[in-house]
Formats: sequence, C-alpha cells, structure tokens
Amino acid sequence: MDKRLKLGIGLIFISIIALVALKLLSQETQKSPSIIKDDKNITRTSSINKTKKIDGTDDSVKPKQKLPKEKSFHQIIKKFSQVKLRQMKTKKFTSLLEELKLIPQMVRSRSGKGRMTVIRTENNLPGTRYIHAQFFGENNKEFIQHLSLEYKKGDNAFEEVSSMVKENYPIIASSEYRNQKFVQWDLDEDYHIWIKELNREDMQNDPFNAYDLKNDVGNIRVTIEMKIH
Amino acid sequence: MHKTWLILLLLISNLAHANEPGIYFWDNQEHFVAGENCTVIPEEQNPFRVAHNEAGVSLLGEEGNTLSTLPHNSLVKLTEQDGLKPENSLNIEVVGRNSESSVSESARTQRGDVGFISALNLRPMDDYTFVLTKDAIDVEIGSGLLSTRATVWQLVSDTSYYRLKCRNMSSTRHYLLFRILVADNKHTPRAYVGVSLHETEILEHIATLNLDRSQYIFRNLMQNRPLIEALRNSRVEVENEVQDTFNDPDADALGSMNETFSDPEKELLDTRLMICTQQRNGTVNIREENLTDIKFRANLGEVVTVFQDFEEENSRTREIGGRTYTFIRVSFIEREESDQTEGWVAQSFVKRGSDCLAYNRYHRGNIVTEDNDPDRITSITDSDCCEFPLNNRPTHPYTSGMRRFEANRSGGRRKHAACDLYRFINEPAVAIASGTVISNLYYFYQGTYAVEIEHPGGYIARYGEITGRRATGIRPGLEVTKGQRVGFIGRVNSGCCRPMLHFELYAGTMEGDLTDSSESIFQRREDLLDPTNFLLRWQEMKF
Repeated sequence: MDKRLKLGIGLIFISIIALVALKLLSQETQKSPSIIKDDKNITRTSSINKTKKIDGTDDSVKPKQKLPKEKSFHQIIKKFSQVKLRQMKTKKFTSLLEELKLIPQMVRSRSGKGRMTVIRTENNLPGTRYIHAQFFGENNKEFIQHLSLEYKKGDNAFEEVSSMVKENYPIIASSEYRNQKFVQWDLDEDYHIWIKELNREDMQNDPFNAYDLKNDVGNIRVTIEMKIH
Repeated sequence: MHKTWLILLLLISNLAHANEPGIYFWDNQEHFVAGENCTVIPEEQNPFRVAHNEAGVSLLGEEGNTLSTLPHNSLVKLTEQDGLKPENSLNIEVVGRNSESSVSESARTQRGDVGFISALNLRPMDDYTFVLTKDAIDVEIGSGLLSTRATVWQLVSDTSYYRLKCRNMSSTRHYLLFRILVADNKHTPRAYVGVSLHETEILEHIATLNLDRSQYIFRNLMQNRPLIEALRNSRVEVENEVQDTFNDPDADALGSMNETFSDPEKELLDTRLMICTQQRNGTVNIREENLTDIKFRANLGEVVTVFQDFEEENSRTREIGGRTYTFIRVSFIEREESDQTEGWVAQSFVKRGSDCLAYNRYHRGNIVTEDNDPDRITSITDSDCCEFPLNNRPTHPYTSGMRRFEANRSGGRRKHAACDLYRFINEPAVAIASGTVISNLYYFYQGTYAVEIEHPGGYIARYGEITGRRATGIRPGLEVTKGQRVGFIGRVNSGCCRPMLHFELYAGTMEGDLTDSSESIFQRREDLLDPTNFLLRWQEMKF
C-alpha cells in the first residue's frame, strides 16, 4: 500500500510539474506573435520613424518593401495628388502621365452643347491599369469630373490601396462612408474619392474597360469624382 | 423522349438530288454556313421555350418586379444566373418577339433582355412554328436558292429533338435542328438548319403560330414525319471552306485601309471602339492567344473594349502573309455568343466609330434629318408631348426627401439638380419624346453612367445613374422615338441607395456642358429646369 501511495503521490507531483511547465510554455508561445506583430507595425511605418533601444542608441527601422504593384500605384497616386483637382486640366494631366512613362490617348467628343475629353493610356505600370480621366469644358473652364484606375487584386489589396490613398490625398476622415468592400471620403466640397473591390455587377457592360469576369472579380477600383449627384 | 443514341450519317454527294434540302447551321456573322460531313444525333434537352399568356408575359427582376412585358408567344432561351430568383420562375433571355402583339412598344421586352418568367408561362417550343417576318434578317440560304423572309421554321422533333453536328462547326456547341419550309411547298422542307443557343439572331423577328394554326395554314406540314425518312435522299451541299471565301481577312482590310488615327484635337461624334473593315460585309479574324488559331470572325461595326494586362503585355506581334501585325486583346461586350466574347485582333482593325469610314457609310442608322411634318411635336411643353421616362410608377415620391429637385446636398452647400425616380435595377429608362442622342455614354457617379438627349424645342434631358448596358440604337447623332429605351436603371456601387433614374432637364438655351464647375449652387448649366411638374404631368398621362 505504501509503495502504491508513494507512486500515486509521485505521479500527482509529476503531473503538477508538467502542467505548470505547459502553462509557462503556452504563455511564452502567446507572447511571441504579439512581439512579431509589434515589429510588423514598426516596419510598416515610414523610415522617418525611429525606435530607441533601451541603451539609448537610435536604430533606424527599414521600411517595408513595397510590391511592384504597390510601387506603381504609389507612384501614380503621388503624381496625381501633386495637382489640386480644381487646377487639373487635360494638358497638365497628360504631362503627369508622360512623367510616369505612360502614353496618353486623348479623345474629344460633344456633351450637351459642350465638350467632353477622355484621357486613357496606351500602356500601364505593373499591377495597375485602366487609367480613365473625364474632363468637361474647354480652355479656362475645363475641369475634371472623373478620374479612376484599377489595382490588381490580392490578399490585402483593398487595405494597401486605402492606406496609400490616405497617405497621399487630404481626405476628410469624418466624411468616411464604408460599406463592405467600399469606402469613400470627401476630398473637399466638390470632390470625393472612393475605393471599391469590384464584383461582377460592377464590371458587366463597362463601356470602357474590358473584363474577364472569371478572373477579374476582386480587383480594386479607385475613383475620384465630382459630387455630381 | 428517351431513345437509343442513333447517329445518322447523312449521305453526301452520291445521293445528290437537286430538290432535296440542304444542311446548314446558323452563324450571327456568317449567316448560313453549309454543313460538311454532318451527323444528326438525338437530343433530349431543348433550352428554347415559348412565353405563353395572351395578355403578355411579365419579365421579372430578381425582386419580382416587372422589368417589361413579353408579347404572347415570344421565343426565349433558358439561362443560368447567380443570385436571387422569384419563386417558381426560370431565368431566361429573350430571343425573338412575336410580332403579333398588343403590348405597347415602350413596355415591350426586347431581344437580349434577361430576367425571370413564371414557369407556368413557358411552353415547349415543339408546339409552335415560327414565320420570319419582314423585319427579319433577309439573307439567302444556299447560293441564292431561298430568301429567309416569310420562311417557316419548325423544330425537328418526333420522339426526340435532334442535334446537328458537322465537321466545320464548333464542337462544344449544341445546334438544334430546324426544318425550313416555304409557302409554295408545304410538303418538303427546303433546308435543315442547326441553331445554337449562342447564336439566335435569325429568330429575332417572328410571327409565332401554334400547331393547330400552322396545320391550317400549311396543310400537310411535316410535323410527324420521322427525320430519318425525311432525310433519306438528302445531301449535304459541300461548299468551299468558309475561310477560303474570305481569303485572308487580316490582309484584305489592311491593304486598303489607311492608318487614320484620330487627331486628338478633333471632336468625334461616336467615340466607341469597334471592328472596322473597309467593306460592308468584311470580317476580321479573331484569334486565340497563340495568334495562330482563328477563334471566330468579327463583323464591321462590332463594338469592343480593349484589355490592359496588369503585367503590361498588352500587345503581341505576328507575321502573316509577309506582313507583321500588332495584335491586341479585345472584349466583345454586345455579343450574344457567350463563348465568343474575347480574342486577339490586329490592332489596325479597331477604330473609333467616327473614324471608321465603312461603318459610317453602311451603318448610319436613323441619322437626324430635317422633318417638315406639321404634326411633329415642337416642344416638350406641347400638350400631347411627352412620356414619363419609366414604364412603371416610381416606388417612392420624387417630390420629397433627398429625391426631390433642390434637395440639399453636402450639408446645404449644393442642391440636387434632378428628380430621382426610384425603381428596380435593370428596368428600362425610356425617352420622354422623340429626339437626338447628343452624347456618348459616360461615367456619371459611383459606377453608373449617363446619356444626354436633345428633345423637341431644344430641351435637353440627362438620363443619369443608368447601367453601362447600351440600349439598341443609342449612340450620338441618332434619332430616338418617344418611349424608346435609352438605358437601364442602375445602382450606385456604394450600395447606399435604391436603384434609380436620375432625371435632369435643361431648357437648351445655353451653350456648354451640363455639369458646371462654377459656384452655382446646382453645379449645373444655368438653363437647368425643375423637372418635377413635367414629370407629374407625364406620369398622370401614362399611368
């Protein structure tokens, strides 16, 4: 009996130790992701941000490597955002495209008793496509009514685009309207910007852009447009 | 309907007999193509149906709303569609409208419309015959032997339907076999024609007769004569390879076309991109990705959009017949053939509508001309003008709330320049009066589009927040009639609001664009009108 009792006590003791050890181990494994997450958060910030080590020395954190499509989109939106929308004219827009090594294609037509000019591009930067700008009016009265482009789908495509838009355009955060994979912000009194993950309905019958409905669902469209409604 | 698979090998030239029917299959572009080495295979499925209800059959939207009304005895085909579906209904696409109908033109369904029909209102196609009316495509069957007008089409069915299979047709399609009869010989078919679900244009304009009436008109109609007996002495007319008759379509068009790219400063009337050949019946090869195989052929005037590839591969080159062509990938957005909606085409055959000489010469449509008719409406203020721009009452009043003209926008900094007429997605918007299309379809707001039409008295209506689907006959410079479809109700892609027609009206006394970036509270041209009273009056007259 004594031997059995001792064996029993020994087993209980070992079990307790094993449980404590497991608990400690699980705490350790729970901590790990949060540290990684913090690191990720840091690396996502711009290179201007720096962290200070405990010993007081500065350690510049490397910026996250942008994917080629992110680079393209960033380049484009940064370029477009340099010009105030009220001052965007066809000539200026064409020169911005050329600075991006894009080849503009301009088509003028009548609208009402006025003029509409559509500018698209013959080529595109990797991961982006279908730049489309609609201008109304002539000469000094010319103004942009619609500007859009498309970004290739991906796991975080919607967030990537949102983040780059916010980084480059002075969005009015309080005006945010969000609905599933759609978000819209006012840019000023006259224009807003929206981002949308495209579904079949969005792509069907588009008279300007060609779509492969099997493969293109999920691409992201970014549009700046006049509040025309 | 169950039957052992019987394959009838149709005898070819050795059984030739001058009066025996030829075997063809229908192609929307090439029309009647003589079948080569054809077999006929019993088939159990038939995707065609006839809409049956003497008062007209409602074509329903996904919420059970009526999109339009299909005339009794019109021809439809069953289709598949994701999403909601009204109870006990089937998803269909309209193939041909029965010409004998009392349904008003503006409310009538048109070919290509999609929606749902109650299963109770659909009948088998075999119980009817179809006479091609005067509006039908008039082409010859078999080298001038027979014109299609007034021919009678009847689905071949005894204990089975039959599928035509020929060496020179697409292997993935099912071509249901029809027999074609003419008025002066009701005993013997003049031809057998295979029609695929994907290409049905020949059956667009029809007068549909039920079998009793057909038997009365065409006595001894071959309704029950077994196909095997009917075809016993048939022959297949062997013609040249279709491709030979076109020589090299790439080279044909290129040789005679000058590279007339648009001057960017020139204003174009029609900015759509389209297939452009020099000749009226010219066709262009649409190739597979390898640029070697020909996928199908496209006709002059077929509207396309051009693909941009995310990885920049937007064009490819290939040498054909000693010439180097640059090919681009295009989408055919208005094609019925769901398996022929994209392919590679030589770039030189894609032009803007206004830049395509042959298109403007041969496909002008109802270009506006001076009209001296004294009864013609002179202004939209005339008492007998006009028509409410929808075929049903709006679901919500457009005289109140955010829908009304002058409702505040942007916290009162702007005013609403239109009346918003709420209805259901894809319902037609119709012209308030006769007029002229004065703009191309353009991006309007949150993924919707707009088109502008000048109506009598110079008034301009902007039909906004419509979908990108182009209504037949709506392009710049063309005349429209009162009640003609101008587009289809759209839905902004934020999902914020119900589908609507955003209707703006202008007096037409000013020059310039309808949208104005000035400090005007409407941000519109100064001759903007409040359309509310016009709409109320037209609504009262229509409903």
